[in-house]
Amino acid sequence: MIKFILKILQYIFIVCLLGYGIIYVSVLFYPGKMLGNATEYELWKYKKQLINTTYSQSKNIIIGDSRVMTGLNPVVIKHNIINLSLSGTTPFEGCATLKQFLQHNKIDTLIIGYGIFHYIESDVLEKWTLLYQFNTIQEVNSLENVERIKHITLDNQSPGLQLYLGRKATYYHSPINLRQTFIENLKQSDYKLFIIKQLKETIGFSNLTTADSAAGTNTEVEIALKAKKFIPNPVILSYLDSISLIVKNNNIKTFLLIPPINYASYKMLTSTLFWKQFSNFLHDLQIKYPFVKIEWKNAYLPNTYFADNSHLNRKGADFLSEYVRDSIMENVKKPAIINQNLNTRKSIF
Amino acid sequence: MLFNSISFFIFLPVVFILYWFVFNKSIQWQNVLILISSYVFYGWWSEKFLVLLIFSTALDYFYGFGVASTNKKKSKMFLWLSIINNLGFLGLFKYYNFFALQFQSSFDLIGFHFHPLFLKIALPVGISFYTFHGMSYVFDIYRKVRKPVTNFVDYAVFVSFFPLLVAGPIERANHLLPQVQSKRVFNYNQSVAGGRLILWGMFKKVVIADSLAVVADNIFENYHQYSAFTLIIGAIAFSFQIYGDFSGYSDIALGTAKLFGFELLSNFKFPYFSRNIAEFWRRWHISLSSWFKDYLYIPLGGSQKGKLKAVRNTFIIFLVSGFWHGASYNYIVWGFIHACGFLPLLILKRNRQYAGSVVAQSSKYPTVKEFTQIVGTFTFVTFAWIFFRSGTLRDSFGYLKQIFTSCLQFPKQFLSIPKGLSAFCYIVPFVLIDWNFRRDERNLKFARPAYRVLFYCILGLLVFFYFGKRSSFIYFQF
Repeated sequence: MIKFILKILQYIFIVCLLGYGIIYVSVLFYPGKMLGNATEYELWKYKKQLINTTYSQSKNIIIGDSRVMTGLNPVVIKHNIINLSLSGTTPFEGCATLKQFLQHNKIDTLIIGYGIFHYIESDVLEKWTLLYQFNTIQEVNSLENVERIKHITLDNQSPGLQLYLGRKATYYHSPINLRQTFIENLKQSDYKLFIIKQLKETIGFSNLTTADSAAGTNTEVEIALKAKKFIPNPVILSYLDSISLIVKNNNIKTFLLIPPINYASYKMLTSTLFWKQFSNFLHDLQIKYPFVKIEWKNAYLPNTYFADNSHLNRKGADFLSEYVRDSIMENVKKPAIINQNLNTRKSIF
Repeated sequence: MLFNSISFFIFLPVVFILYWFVFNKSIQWQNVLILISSYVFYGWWSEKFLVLLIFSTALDYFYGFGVASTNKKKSKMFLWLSIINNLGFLGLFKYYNFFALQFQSSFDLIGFHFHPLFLKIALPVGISFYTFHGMSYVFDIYRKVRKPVTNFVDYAVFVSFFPLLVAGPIERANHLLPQVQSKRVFNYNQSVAGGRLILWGMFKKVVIADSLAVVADNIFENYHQYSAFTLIIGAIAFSFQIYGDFSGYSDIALGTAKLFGFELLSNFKFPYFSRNIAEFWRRWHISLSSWFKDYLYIPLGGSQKGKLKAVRNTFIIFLVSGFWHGASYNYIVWGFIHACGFLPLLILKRNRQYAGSVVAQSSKYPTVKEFTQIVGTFTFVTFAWIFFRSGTLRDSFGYLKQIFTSCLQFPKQFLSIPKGLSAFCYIVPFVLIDWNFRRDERNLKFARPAYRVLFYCILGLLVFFYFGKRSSFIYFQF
């Protein structure tokens, strides 16, 4: 009987060893394919490359989430600007981007752009940020310290040992974590070349899709209808504080741009408590960070400017980029104001 | 507890070690352990239904003594009590709502509107299986094939032995009870064979069935969007999904029982290599078809009382078998189609033509005739599966209509590359392996040790990569 048990254990051990070995080697050689989303992996890799490049002259940079990645085109904006924004990210990743970029470069102007949702929570921390090792492990540890102090995590969970062990397993590409997705990832076709090509041609901008209209509602509407209130995540706010401290210390002209939403979503949001609380939140931010100029002129744009319910299409991106070029970059000294008087935007309808 | 869950992979070694190392001094203690383990295994789903299982077991245990009485009247009365009791449980939990709905619809047709009480209770897992265990025990006592068991634990183990509790094989008292009552000795070869069967069953379930389920579910649920070729692939995918799912479950059950020194009845013998429908039914869900044959077909007179009665009995057995699967017209039609396929063989006395033989017994490949027969039988079975898989009869006919109408749009739609083509990546190797083992299902042996090592390494790795998605077995719903 002992012989039988030993044989079974030996078999299980060999199979697990082989299995985990195969996963480890596959991730080592084909990280894009084996880490779940080849296109996204290439995208993050390219942005990381941009961040770590040493430039001969000082730069203007954009940090933010996918709404500014698809909304601000450096080729249109010109002014020596680079778009370093990444899908799904929050000021946690933004702060790291800024710190890493400043290690070997100088920044003149910074545009920060996060959708309303990314002041509430992060939805890609485990999925992409940690998996692609975007932040250093020290930054991840420091995030966990902040989370412990605030009693909430970046993705709105309760901090705990199990959660943090899971994060470490994700960060170090534990084969145990990757076992279940191995076959699905193996079946994954290669990354969408046009996105990467566009990203490289435009120094960080990309239209994720090519659709010419989106009349549905976005994530914020969902939250406004469900949770009713706008409650910013204290960890995210803490990283916003860190960013403001960096820009202040480095004398960087900074703009906090709120990316426009589509008209369908705006119609649903405008009379909600959620929207009102968000407006108040921006007012408070302006008072807290007087050296940062908050830009919310384009609170919404027509549905035809959107590729999906959250992201601008090429037409919308051109519009927003031209706005940034003409109203911000060419006139950085002129103080911007919180402007929600949407009647002034009649011309585009 | 599901066989393909982490909890089972903790439960099984714990019970195995306790069984052979702690409770190995007496059979009684081993049986007590098996009974407790079986109740834990079953209670994992629902404690309420565990009470029902114990109650049903206790009733049949007591009825057994009554049926064994020398007084014929008393014996018959207890037999009927057992039948009413078991079918009553089945009727209440499985068929009540179906019949209530039929009554309501019938009365609606003649202008009477009444609202029967509909039960809002889930179907207890495995009820169709353990009630049939109980009935087989009482029937055997009535037929004087065996005597009632005095020890309740022994009887309860027979009914609730965890490997077969929720989806069979449906055991016979005469086959399993003697094993429960005799001393089990650990046998290395039997345990190794058990381990291999568990692995093979797990492969069929988590790699083959669960992967094909994605294809089949998608095609069946959106059949109106697809072309004929895709729909045919959907039906083929489901044929192999249900085979992988159910035969995989049976293999795990058989293998698990072997680890505890038990040999269970075989449930599948390569049904898709059958040369006609009669052979298919000797190879598919064998324990159910033989149960119906022994306790329904033969008592009704079988084929001994003239052709007409044989035809009647064939239809009864297939329709009841279809209805056993669930309270839906789909299953009845499925049984009817199989009865229609069986009938010509019965009339031409060809229903036992291939009994006891396997296709290409002494050769590597089938002859052209055999191949044609296999393909023909498989096509017929797959056609019937469409009724089994579809949610309603309307969907079944809609699915078939879509195949024929999109066929007429030849060649553009028929030849469009179907979405489910990847299903063949699973089906082809599965068929090849099955073909290789077709002479002895439970053997899983190789002539060369190197092949064996390679085969079990690949099998283990595939299970390793695919294991983890929680998916129930199809036959749990029956």
